[in-house]
Amino acid sequence: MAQTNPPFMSGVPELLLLRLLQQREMYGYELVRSIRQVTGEAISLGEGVIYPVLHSLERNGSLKSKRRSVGGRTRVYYSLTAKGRRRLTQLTDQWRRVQGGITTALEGPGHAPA
Amino acid sequence: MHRPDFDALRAGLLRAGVAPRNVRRAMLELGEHYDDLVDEALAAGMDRSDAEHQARRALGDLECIAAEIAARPELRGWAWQHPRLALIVYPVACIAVLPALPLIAGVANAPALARWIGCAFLGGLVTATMLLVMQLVITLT
Repeated sequence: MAQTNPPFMSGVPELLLLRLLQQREMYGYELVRSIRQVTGEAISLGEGVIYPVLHSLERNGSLKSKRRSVGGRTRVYYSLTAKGRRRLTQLTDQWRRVQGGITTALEGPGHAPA
Repeated sequence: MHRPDFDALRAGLLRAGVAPRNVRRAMLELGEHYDDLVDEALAAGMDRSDAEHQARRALGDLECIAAEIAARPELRGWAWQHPRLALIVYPVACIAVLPALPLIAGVANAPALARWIGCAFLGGLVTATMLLVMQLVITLT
């Protein structure tokens, strides 16, 4: 079975979902495909775990959803709200700080194990 | 190979206190997602059994999904989020609704109630007719 997101992935699905939904509205299956595509398949989630993240984001007002019937299927399309845009900016800044710190640590003078 | 056991997931989420509307929504989306995965695998040339197997793997372990949903307090029901308030509000609401219960029960069971009233009326009519006949027999003899 595909695993759920490991601990170090905390916050990453949220960031990716907000980033993708900034471009256009999408439903869950589309979002998973887009995550794979934009990350070059570097991030592979148990696909079902995006729904709790989407529902939480909707609950806290970062996303809004709309149901549509498409080809006999019920699709729940998500789109970003103004609050979601602010949250995306905040998460992006946080991520860049963490990324910068790790890059510095990896490229700086280190002690190779004996 | 069958569909993932969404019924067990639904029951587990409700037991964990997830709000029913959030459970219904999760079931809808997970079910549609699974169907999309199966369709994608079938379109890629797999047979149905392999397609379903791959779709289940891609969707992920339902227990993990349930744990992810249950771990988010904001998705839980109102009573789970405010248990102390619920302890006060629910009994008061029950007492307030008590006088209306016969009416609610009547509306909820309208067909059965109509049958019962019909039967009681018919029974009364038969009894009254018999009494009338008896009275007539006594009077005329």
